[in-house]
Amino acid sequence: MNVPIQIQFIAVPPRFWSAWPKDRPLTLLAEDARGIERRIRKAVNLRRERTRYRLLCNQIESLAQELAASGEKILTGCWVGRAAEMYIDFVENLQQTANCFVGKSIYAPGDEVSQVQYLFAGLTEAALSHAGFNGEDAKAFATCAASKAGFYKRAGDSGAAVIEVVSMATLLPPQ
Amino acid sequence: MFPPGTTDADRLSLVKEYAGKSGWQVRRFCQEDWLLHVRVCSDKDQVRRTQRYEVALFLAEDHWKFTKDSAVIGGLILALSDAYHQLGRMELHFVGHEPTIPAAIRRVAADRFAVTFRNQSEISDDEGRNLYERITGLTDQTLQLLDDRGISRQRACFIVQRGIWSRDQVEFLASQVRFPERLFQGGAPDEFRISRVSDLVYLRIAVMGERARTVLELNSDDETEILNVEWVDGATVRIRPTSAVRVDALGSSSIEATRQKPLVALLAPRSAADYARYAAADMPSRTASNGEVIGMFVTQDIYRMSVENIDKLLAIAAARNVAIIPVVDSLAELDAEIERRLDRAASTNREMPERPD
Repeated sequence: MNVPIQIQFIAVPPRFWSAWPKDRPLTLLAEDARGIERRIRKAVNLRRERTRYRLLCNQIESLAQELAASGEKILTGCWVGRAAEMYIDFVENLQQTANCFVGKSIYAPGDEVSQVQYLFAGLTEAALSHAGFNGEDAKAFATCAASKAGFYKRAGDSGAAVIEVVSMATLLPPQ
Repeated sequence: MFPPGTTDADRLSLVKEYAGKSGWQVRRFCQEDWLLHVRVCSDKDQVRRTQRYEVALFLAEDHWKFTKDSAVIGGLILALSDAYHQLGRMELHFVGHEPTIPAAIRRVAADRFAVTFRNQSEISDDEGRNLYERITGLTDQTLQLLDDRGISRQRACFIVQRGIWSRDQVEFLASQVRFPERLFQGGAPDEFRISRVSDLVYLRIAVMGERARTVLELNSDDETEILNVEWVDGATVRIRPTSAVRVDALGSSSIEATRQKPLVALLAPRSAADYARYAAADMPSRTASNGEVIGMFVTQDIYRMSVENIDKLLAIAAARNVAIIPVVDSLAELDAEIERRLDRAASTNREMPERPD
């Protein structure tokens, strides 16, 4: 048995995105993260920026998890085990084949969420086969992409941001 | 010239000839204040200039506190690692006071690792690599796994010898992680967040296994306690002590692991919030078979849960006969340790751009 992995998709509604937590809302934290991503792309102070990025992502992801567990009406999705592994494989493949930041975990409302939606909606089985994925992978990844695109569409329609959180699932299957 | 029967300790004075001499450096291998090995070898500049790693003096003397041949083996590991680090090849040329491969090296290589050398005065790259692998002691199964997954055996051995990951951790990572070779070279960059965090899940478990072992060692009365650690599956290790070890658990209980009754350690490196969410589900619902005792190893973050939640968790643990054992680190400390190790793996990689593999 492998280590069980899960990936949570948390759609953060606009009212929380722009005003929660009170001292420094998620929107400002995400702006900082975008700034760091830009500096990393320019290879400015790589080591320090990567450390800052790591800490900032940890903070944003913890806040998103806290929100998801707070009982507020939040759109969430969760892939566990094989589905999560397949998604991570898919992201790894995309990172190697496409020159884009598909492996990010924070997507701000508006353009970023819709860009992800369009990108994944376009990753059909035919498109993936054309891009060099073999038959079975193309089929599995296309299903995965369609599911993710669906989640991002629902989040985008409500003006929400999306945070993706990878973590260890329960060590044992539910009894 | 030294008469026959001279020990390496007697030849130690020869080192003085090389002190401050251009092109040479003196390296020592010490354990607990005891000098076990001294080597005179080419310095960085000379290696770069000549593309040869030369050893002019190789002295090794055993000490009763350590297993036989520790000095020779320690010296060989250091010499081969150094040659690989500087040259990308595990090739040693013996010159100067060591015109041929020292008899101690030949004997240890042949008797303990079944490696013989073709040349009188040189350990060739393939012989060096073979010897290095055998000294590292990865199991045949692990070596096969490394080959199957396209990971350089020498890279994995180098990671073990540098003390970045232990043998059992390399085995665990090679079998579990999707891209283990990436971890042996510093891991995914932080901006590839999904890949980075998915790797982190496995790395936390690998370090947590080490911490679980430390907890048992700290609680053992016997300073020379040898713990047999075996990865059972994903996040579980079976730790079998040679003598009885009693470990204090959360909530004023304790468990005892013995050779016959090993400890099955469930490794749960989580944050406080995640313990509240998942800890109860992490615990098995029945006692382990074969007289094993079960312990769930948690980080210090468990103390950040509310008292009510801790009490609830303890009640569940008692009902399921599981001991909850905190390790010394918090999750943030585990992560910092992982970053440090990944960084060390990356820096060794950066310093060896000329390596062929």
